[in-house]
Amino acid sequence: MIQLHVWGCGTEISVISPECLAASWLLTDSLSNTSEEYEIVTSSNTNVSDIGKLPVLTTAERKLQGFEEISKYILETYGDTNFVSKELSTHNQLVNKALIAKLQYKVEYIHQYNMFVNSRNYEKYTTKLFQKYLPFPMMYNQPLKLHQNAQEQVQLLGLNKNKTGFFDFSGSVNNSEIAETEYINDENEEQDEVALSALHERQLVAKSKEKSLLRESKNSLKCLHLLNDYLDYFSKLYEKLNGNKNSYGFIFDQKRASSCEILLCAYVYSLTYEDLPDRFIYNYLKIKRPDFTEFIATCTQRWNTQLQIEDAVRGPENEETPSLWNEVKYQTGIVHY
Amino acid sequence: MFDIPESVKKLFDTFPLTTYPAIPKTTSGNDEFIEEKKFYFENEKQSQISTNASFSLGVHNVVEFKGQDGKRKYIPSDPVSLGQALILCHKNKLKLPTTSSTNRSCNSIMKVSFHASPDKQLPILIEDDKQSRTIRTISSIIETVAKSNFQKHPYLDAELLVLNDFIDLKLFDLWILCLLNENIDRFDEIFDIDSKLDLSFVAKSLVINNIYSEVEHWRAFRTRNPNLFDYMELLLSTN
Repeated sequence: MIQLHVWGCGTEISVISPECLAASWLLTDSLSNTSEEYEIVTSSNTNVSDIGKLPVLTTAERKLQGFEEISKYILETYGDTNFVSKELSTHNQLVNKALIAKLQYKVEYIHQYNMFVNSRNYEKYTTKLFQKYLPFPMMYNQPLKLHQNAQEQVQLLGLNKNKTGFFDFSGSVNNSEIAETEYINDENEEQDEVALSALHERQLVAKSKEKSLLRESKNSLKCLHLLNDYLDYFSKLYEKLNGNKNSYGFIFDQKRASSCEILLCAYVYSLTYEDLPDRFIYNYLKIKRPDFTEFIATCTQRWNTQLQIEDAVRGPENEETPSLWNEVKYQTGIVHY
Repeated sequence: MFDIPESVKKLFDTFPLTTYPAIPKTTSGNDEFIEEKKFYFENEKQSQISTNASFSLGVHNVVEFKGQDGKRKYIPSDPVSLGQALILCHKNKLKLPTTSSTNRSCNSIMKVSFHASPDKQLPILIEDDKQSRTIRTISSIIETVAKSNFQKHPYLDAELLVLNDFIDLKLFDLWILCLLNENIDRFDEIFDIDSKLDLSFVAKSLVINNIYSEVEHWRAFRTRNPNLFDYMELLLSTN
């Protein structure tokens, strides 16, 4: 029995981890025609993994961590009726690997920005998710940790963190961000100012709100620009290998996706997810790359329907639950995953 | 005058006092001392025009190595610096430094401490053109290499650029993982740890820990893979 552990709750796989989403799609699509039994567990329990990161695939003999390893294993073991992998030339296999790395180390941070740093999405969507994923006392620690990691990671792309007001509990460890001169001057002014009256105070609050809005939109613009650059790699490669400038499709094969493309779809799906309060990335991509967005949308639609038809997703049971009790058992060594 | 209180004097007397001989001329900062740490690249052709500008690649250490032509050559001791040294050689039509130098250029590989780098990470490229000196970190070198080499053909580009990034990032990560996880036999040689330190276990482990505390931050490795370090903390807490 093959088991895939992912982020999510009930029968729903979460968009906070595109790698989990991609691994689930890949698993259902590859195994739907075989007699192999499998299930996808939305355990949200990072202890299952040896490296503290989901997705994790457990088979009878092995435990595989992370999308790259999982996809390699699935494609090698269960043939490739629906995906290209083995028949790719060595050169293209390398390109495929390189594109996965690009997604994991660049687009990932844009995803982190979108989920954890963009204050509208973070406060109105992401924080609420963890209440569903993790049982009572555990839902406080994990999201804050992820939030802090995200804030550090987006700075690698040159995106500053946004001020998240009341929700910024993550401490002032990383306050050394490089602000632009105009902000430095502005902030100094702001600190000197003391509210003289109720009216003045209201004005000050309004002004600071305006400023944080400005900062956020600047970050969002930078983010869109970077995303466009990264997606350019895919469209240029498609153009090169297929000679078609005006459309978009699978890069290496006419009909079948490769492992990097399934991951790309998962990322774009999460970035443009319809339940997000701030869908600035969706609006941008729809106008800037209509063919691309449409193609990705049809692919994800197909995979999502397949996920529903196969009905192999279940919630965590007993020791799979990320509860406090299981955490204690894990830390003391009673439970091993 | 003051008398030293008895208790304080006793305390200080318990430590052995060693007088070191005076160090006359070879202190760091001295020209000779710097020259000793420099290994000059060879010119490919005999008559190459020498320019005012020169560069030095700052690396941890160099090791000797026998080339195909039978000459003993110096190469940087870690793979990242070696890669950059080879790129510099290729781009500037230079050859690796040899032990028996015949046709040396003004450019060199230089042994420096990683504290010399602004982000505590080697290699660094020190560009000197008589009037000014710029120190470039590894991130800036990598960025420049990618920018200036893969921007001519738009299609070829995307592919090569992705592969280039892949090598820079993934192989670099692999090197850091090796350093962090594996017991490296020639650690002292790679990072040029003074053999005098072998006398004192404490001093040596302090120096080594100092290096390890920086390794995990090289090219933001820790920031990029926070999950790996959670696990390490967990390991420490369970053991």
